[in-house]
Amino acid sequence: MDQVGERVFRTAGLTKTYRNGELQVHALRGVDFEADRGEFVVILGPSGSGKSTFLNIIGGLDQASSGDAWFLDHRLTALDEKGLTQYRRDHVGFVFQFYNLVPSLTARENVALVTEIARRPMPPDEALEIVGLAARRDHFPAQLSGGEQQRVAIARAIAKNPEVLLCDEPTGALDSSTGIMVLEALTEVNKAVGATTLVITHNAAIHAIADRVVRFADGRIIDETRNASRKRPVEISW
Amino acid sequence: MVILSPLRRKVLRDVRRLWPQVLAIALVLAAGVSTLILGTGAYSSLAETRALYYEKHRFADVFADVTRAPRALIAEIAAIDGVLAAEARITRIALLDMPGMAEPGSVALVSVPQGGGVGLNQLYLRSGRLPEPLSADEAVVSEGFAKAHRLRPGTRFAVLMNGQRREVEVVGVALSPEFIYALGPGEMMPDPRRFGVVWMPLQSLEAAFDLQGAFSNVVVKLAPGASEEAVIETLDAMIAPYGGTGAVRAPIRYRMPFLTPN
Repeated sequence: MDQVGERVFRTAGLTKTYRNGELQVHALRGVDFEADRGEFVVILGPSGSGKSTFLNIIGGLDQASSGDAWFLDHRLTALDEKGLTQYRRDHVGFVFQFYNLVPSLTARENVALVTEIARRPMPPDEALEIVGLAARRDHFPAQLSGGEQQRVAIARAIAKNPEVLLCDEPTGALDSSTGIMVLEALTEVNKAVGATTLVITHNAAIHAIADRVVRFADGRIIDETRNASRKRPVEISW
Repeated sequence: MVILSPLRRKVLRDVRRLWPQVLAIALVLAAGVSTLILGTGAYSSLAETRALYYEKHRFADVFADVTRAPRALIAEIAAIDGVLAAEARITRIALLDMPGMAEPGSVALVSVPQGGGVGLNQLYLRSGRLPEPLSADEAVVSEGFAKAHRLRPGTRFAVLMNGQRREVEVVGVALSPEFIYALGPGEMMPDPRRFGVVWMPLQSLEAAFDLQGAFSNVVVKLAPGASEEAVIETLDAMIAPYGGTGAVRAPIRYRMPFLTPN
């Protein structure tokens, strides 16, 4: 991976304020953050600490109130709705806590939904192969377990060959052993595709599988640590 | 083999899975569309039929009442720019004298339109014939009135014309574009028992109302594209010296805005 070390994300003084009538809610209070190509970052923090808001802004789903956010040479904070849509379509893969699969399409067809509109997609079978679901490609979501459905969602996210993979509580709805299988899939994808992977979780046990751990509290980054060595997901439990 | 996109496959599978709902929605839509088509079709058909009926029976466009105007005036009226045809008539209200009828009733006496297809507001005979032009007591009656009083060709009944009791003989029963919604004087709703239309020869009415060589009503058919307002204005000026009460358009006189939605 000759591009390892290239800065993929950079934010400076990023803030987000929601107005609820007279009340102002400060979701982000000035976030400075950087992430390199291929890096696996785990973002920890309690509910309401601003981590999902942060992920939504750098994923192009939301707009910041002030500050700057850059993806490579794209200034995200300067893009309009259309620009953000194009950015999400071309560069970002999302995985959410709930899988959002189309019930009447098979695993393969769910992945193919994305490859039809992506700029440089990989074959749907290959994406399913990476997450270990090649054998179940013709199954409908209702015929798959929660963990398998989440892995289909991951395959769908990576099938467009995104530069970044943003995961918001990907194991939040899963038990420990199933969650570990999903994390295995994420680390495998991170290695195979080389996508910068940001995983939001409130589960502190997951921090050990990351290159770097960022902790959020009260709309700010309060701590960053780099792991000397990454554990494999099977080596952790919660 | 045709390769379907995943979204099309999703639609096909959803339709297959939800076919009862899809069928129900399709039926509701089909029922709605067919009702709309039936409604608009029936409405336009009725409107066309009415237009055809008016055209075929030469329904006049402008009507005017006068107290007594010389018959010579009709040539001048016919010469007004935009007038296609004008016809002088005698119209009067007469009281009905029906045996066994306690409540007051009246009839509109109207002179029979000119024959030979030139007269305006021509009658559509349902039975019988038109009166002989020189007869004194032959009459055609409106169908609703005839039914209400069981009148048919050959029946006789009495009316009070100009203070004199006259017996008339029914020789025909007819419909007229002029009296689709026939209201008696001061009435709000049609009552065919208490009000009817009786068409009699011009000469007979001239004699009864002392209107020899004169007329009491004029009907005008306009040329296509003619200005109704301009014709009414000129006509009003012409009939004013003879007790003209002002010409009106057919839709106003015959309550067409009321008839149209019905």
